[in-house]
Amino acid sequence: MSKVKSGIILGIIVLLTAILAVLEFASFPIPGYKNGIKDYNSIGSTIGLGIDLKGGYAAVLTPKYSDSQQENIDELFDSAVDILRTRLDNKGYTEAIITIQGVGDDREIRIEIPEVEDADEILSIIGSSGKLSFEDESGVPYLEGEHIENCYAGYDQNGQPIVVLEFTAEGTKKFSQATQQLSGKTMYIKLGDDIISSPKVNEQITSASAQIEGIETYEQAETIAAVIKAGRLDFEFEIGSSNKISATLGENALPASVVAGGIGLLIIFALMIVFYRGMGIAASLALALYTVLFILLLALVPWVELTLPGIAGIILSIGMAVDANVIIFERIKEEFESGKTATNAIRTGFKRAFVTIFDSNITTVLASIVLWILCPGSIKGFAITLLLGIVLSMFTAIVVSRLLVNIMYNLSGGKASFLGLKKEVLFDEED
Amino acid sequence: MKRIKDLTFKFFEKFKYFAPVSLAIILAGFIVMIFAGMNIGIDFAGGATVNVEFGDYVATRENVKEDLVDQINDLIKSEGFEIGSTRWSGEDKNIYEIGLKYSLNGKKIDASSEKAQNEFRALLEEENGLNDKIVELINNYNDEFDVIKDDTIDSNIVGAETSRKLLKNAIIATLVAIVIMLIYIGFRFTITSGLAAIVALAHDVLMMIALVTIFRVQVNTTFIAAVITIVGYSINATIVIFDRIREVAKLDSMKDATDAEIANKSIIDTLKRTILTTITTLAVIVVLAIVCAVLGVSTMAEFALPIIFGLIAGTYSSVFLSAPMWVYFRKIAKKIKNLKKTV
Repeated sequence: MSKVKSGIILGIIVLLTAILAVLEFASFPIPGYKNGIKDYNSIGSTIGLGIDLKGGYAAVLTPKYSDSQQENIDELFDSAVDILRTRLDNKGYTEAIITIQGVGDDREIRIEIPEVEDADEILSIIGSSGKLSFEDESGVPYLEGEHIENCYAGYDQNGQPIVVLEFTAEGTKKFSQATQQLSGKTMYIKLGDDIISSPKVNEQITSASAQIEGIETYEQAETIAAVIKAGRLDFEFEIGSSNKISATLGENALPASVVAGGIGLLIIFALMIVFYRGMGIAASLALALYTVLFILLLALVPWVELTLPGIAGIILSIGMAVDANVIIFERIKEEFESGKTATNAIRTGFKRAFVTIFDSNITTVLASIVLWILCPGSIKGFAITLLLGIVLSMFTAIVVSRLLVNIMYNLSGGKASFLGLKKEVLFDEED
Repeated sequence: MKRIKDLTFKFFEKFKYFAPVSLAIILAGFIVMIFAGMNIGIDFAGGATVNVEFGDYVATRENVKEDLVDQINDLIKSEGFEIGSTRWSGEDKNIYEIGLKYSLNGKKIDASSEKAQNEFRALLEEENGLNDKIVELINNYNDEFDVIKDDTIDSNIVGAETSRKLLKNAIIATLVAIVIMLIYIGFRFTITSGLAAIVALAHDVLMMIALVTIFRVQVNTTFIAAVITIVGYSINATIVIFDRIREVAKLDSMKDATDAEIANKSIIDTLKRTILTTITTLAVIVVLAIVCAVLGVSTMAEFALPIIFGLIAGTYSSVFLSAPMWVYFRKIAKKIKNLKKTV
């Protein structure tokens, strides 16, 4: 790379970082429009925030059970909570909080959803309160939620998205009867009054599983499957009192974290530059780019609802991003001291450090994937933040830092000392 | 000036001094736990909420509201109840929600039965109970204004079922994650490295729990996230050292070296990285804690504390414990192998 080319690339990276930073943190009126009519809202302000940072809305739900269900009320209560959790997670409200309040038969479910403004919105998020049923046109029910063993999205042999239904033993019998009677007609799968899917019945189905065809996209199939699965256990509820909740940690929590994050980054930049000079400048730029890219990802990826634990995940991934740079730079120094030229030391240093960084980060990547899959609610949100942060930190350390270190080296006119690299002998003489 | 990499500290040989320090702290934590328990928040222990809804008069006067809240908090404490959390709700931030722990006059109440929960609720709702006293306090606050009498109070028992379920899920998921990490390390390194890494990890988590217990930090659902954060950090720090061991062992100059020598050299080779990474990560979280404490976001500062404990424990274990443990595990593995040969 020539000096000019290095300078241009450096300029592009700095400019990109600066532009992203402005777009993420600043809100301003768009020029040409009168103030307040059309404002640009910062990307940062679109990141989903949990109840602790932004508040939300709370509602109390009272489940209603038929007399026959009273005997295993504990179990039903439990499943009601699970159903709500699934519905909330599916809609990206991983940070919603569900608690049970009251004692014995007077128990109620209290549900708190972040960023929601009124009770109606809560209703639309947790879905209809009705039960799942398979009906014909005139509303005669054939099957209910309890007859479904499992339900998931998939593809048929032609690669078209489908929803696969698996029935219980009783469900198989009922479904067989239903499909016999509705052969050639349409079956309506409803949750309360909402029609989730209305497949046409081609022929009688006697097997323990069936599939719904004619779905346009896989995402649609997934949504249908999730709703059917969530509605598998029957319960209905009434919404009791509801009210707005303010940010639990207080309104200062978010600005305080942003200020703290800024100060923390500046300290890191200072330390890196003191220890690694030119390479430290490269690392600082790479970290700045990392930070703005991370904020962009947090705004774009669903399931991210930033909370106190999420901030911990961000801090850990910043720590790991710095760590990756430190590992690389120490390695380059070592290679240089062993007698290699600066260019060679940089090349081998990155190559060797890659193995270390990969092995030390991939374990955390694996762990966060496991947590994401197995945990409902807030831990899921935390896992995704951690996962994004670590993958991105590996990318910036390995790709961006490398590019920047080479640029710094070229711009200094090939001076190894600018990068903080010294030969063993030189060091002793200075001593 | 002596450089870090020229150090000749014998980490393995000093292991016998370091291990007891960790064990002592962990043991102390568990002794405190047995006698005083942990400071468990309402999330996990359950409790009650008292919601004071202020009428327009109070709600629209910020200074009156603040003053009243201070007096209410003092009243609750003087009545022997323990406040676990507080927050604001309502359209105009007019509802003050107080979370009460199952505790009376400094003693914990076993509220596992419905009867006990009802009894606790009765303490709040009975005539001249806590709720009545709070209403009385508000009504007597300023006799000049009758308007404030539209303040209302309401209380309820809060269960911990959902948080416990979250905890259960998190524990299962973390265990699965640990097994997967162990398999990965066994595949990329050796199974002895994997075991040593997991022991170091267990050490860090136990240390966190012990220190949180000793310093009476409140344990809520956020603590789960703090632990998972440290699990990630701890494994990361340990693997960097094992990666070095893997490399050092292959060096020509180390052909005749013992495991202990390899371990010592690898720790020293990576020491600068360990120190620098810890300082930067700690700097970020300490700044967060300080800024939040200064700006009055105390919960946030409280949350940072377990992470700081864990970071220190994680660094300590990766330097002083993990590689020496790897040497011990190798010794044991060799003995087992020899035994098999002789049999």
